[in-house]
Amino acid sequence: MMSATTTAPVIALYLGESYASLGAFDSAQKEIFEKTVFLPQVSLKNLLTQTKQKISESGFADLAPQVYIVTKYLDRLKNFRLGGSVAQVVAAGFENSYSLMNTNSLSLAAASLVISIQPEELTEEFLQAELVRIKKINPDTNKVVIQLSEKKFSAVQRELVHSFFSKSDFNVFTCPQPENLAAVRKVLLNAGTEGTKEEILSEIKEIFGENTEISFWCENKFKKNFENHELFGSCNSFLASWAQSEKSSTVAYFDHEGFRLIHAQEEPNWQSPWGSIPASHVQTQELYPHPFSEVRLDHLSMICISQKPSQHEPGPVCAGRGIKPLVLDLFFEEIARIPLMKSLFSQFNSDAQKQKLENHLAIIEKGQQENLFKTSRSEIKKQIIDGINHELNMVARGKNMKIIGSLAPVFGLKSAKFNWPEEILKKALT
Amino acid sequence: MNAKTYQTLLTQLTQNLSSFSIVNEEGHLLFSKDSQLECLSTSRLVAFQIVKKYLKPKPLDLIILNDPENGGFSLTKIIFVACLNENLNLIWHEDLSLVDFKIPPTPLFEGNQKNSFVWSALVENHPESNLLRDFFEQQKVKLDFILLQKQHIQHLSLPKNQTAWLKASQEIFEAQFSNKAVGSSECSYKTSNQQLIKLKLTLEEKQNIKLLTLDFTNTSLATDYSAASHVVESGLIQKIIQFYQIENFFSQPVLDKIKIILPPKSIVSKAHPRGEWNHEIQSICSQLCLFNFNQLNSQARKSNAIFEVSTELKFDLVSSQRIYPMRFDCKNVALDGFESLLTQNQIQLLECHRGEQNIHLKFEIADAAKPVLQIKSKLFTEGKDWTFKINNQPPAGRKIQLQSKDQIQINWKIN
Repeated sequence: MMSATTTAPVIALYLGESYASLGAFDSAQKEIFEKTVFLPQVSLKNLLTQTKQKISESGFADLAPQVYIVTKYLDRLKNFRLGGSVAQVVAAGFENSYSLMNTNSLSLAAASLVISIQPEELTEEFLQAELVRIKKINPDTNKVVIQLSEKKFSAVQRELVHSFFSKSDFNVFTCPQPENLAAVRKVLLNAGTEGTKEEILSEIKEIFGENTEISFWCENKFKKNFENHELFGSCNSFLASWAQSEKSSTVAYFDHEGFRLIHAQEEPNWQSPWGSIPASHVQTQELYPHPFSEVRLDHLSMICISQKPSQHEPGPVCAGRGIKPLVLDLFFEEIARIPLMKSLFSQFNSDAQKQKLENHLAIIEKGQQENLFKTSRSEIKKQIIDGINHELNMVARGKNMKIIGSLAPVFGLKSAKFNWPEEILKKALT
Repeated sequence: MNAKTYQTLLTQLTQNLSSFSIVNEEGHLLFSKDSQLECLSTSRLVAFQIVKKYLKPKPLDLIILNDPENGGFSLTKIIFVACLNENLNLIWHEDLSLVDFKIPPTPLFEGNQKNSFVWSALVENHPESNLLRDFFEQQKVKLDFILLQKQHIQHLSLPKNQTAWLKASQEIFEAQFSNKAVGSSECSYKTSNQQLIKLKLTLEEKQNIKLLTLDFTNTSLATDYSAASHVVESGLIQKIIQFYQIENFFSQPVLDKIKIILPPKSIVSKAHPRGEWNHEIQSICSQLCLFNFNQLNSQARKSNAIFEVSTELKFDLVSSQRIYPMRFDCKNVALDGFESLLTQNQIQLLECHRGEQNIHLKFEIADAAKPVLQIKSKLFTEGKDWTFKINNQPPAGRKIQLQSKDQIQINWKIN
């Protein structure tokens, strides 16, 4: 049994869309525990429980750890409409104005949960009646975004609305510039993602205690207080910062969640799936194809790779539960040689798994129409590898580019050493 | 090289372009792609043929034009023709608000060298020479990025590779053609000034020869309201490739199967000097074409459906030398750059409401701003569901110089 230690341990966590890579370190930066899990198969809570046990065994039982997180977890929301439980208080004539600039963008709030107000009508009774109305539509409504302009509503009126919803147990978000539609979108996004952020925080605090200090990498540093929208840029911002510390302007990153280029330059606006958001964002460029894109036969019975990636649940066939082959499955043999991927997908190398995957791919290959576009599996793989190399060559001209990520070797790329927990720890301690 | 690899190389070479055509030395179309917003595939081919005839482009030449009566689309749309090598040419276009005059085919770069005479006359003498220089230099950067891909250009220009690709794409088109109904269908549309656009679509397969005929016979003669034939053809071809789902295989063999009959000097064949009606007429003809396809392939034994044009409003706000396109159609609204105008205090939002199916937008022009409103397409009848007013009046004309305090009001119903 080890003796109790007085300095809190540090947990460095990379929380991706589908996987988590965690390292626990003592005050001398010595690793206590490290593990990477595929979240559809091992939950974050499970990983944190294992971590706590290892920390306790190392003599840190009474100390709440400091947790540093880099995340891409919120990216899983990018295909969805948000704000099902978010109400809006707006001036009459400006209802859902944030969504008018492009009706194809995903919505950030339920269109029916709008309380529109004429300044002369604003009383507590009016708000009470509206609250009853929106609670009838969705009893779970518990967040409100107040978008009342200073030009139209007095400070007293705005305070009345704010205090009314605070007293009614709402989480209140205020948009200081309701005339600026992009700013409205930003606040709505903060409100719509509050639940997801709270989910992460509550899981960590449940395991390690309420006093656990949790910092997220946002806008180039670890922060305890931040706006939720900043979490969308956490991973890319961290990688850009890493590239800069390596004296590089661009990093090519390859893991099973995506292949992309991250440039050190920042853009003032983020073109999000919900519309433009005024938040600085590092420039990124997705490389084709997405590793979670489905490999299938198209309407012409030709092998194609879907434009949009599949959901991370159930994942690729090689992960065990997937039933549709993805780009990752095409590279099964190459991936099987990567230790990290073997530890992520526990059923990876079983004979039954290999046979299942072989059958899926053979069906697609043989199901092709007999025409001059008929392509073999190896030809498709070669085209993907050539395509990625071609794109990297074009981008890398005149630039000092670093290549990192567990899947870089699949494309014949020599990658720099990069381990999420270790890199997070380094940044946390600087 | 197999056809799939050829297709992949084409995609990689042109990945930074949203609308373009690529042709060989003879002018045979190897591939063409248009963005969702506008179709110029045939216009680009006509532009290439004009350039080829008068300037005989050599490798690394970059030639521009915009004359709507000679292969162009509108004065503000600059068409670029670049000779990548002896057997490969690239044609694309970009919007430019700075030009309101005709540019005949003009070599901007010759053998990768700036044509100093043209550059001096066209760019340096322009009141906004810096902006114009930036615009052309950006296009040159785009071209240079493509020219860096020397191996791709080499493979794509080899005649044997082109032949294999064209043969394979023909095979795809023929298979898709055979999967759909043959026969004929016709429909017509009466414009707001009571002129008729009539289109008959005939799909036939005789002795293994497949042919698509689009016949505009009996369409009214042009008055001021007309568009060039290539403008109409671009819209029709876009609908054809979408209908047969062959967007990734659009090449010369597809064009060879399409016969379009356009009565001379009619609404659908006479070029307008400024291309003022191009978007609107192209939209109507495309909708007529799609309606005929749907009628022919309808499951109902005899359909009595009557053609109704889909509501559409497209206009540009041109302010501080930038173009801000505003688009309203029956399904969507997209107001690109509207928020920039708001944040730059060029306009002020008076009302902005989105209901379940209707949109209400009212804005005012700010004191210092003087944007120009240029209507590109207006296909709806003013009423409760659809309104477009400037200072409470329907717009007078297609190009309107807005003044400070002018109010623009739009009510729009979407499905």
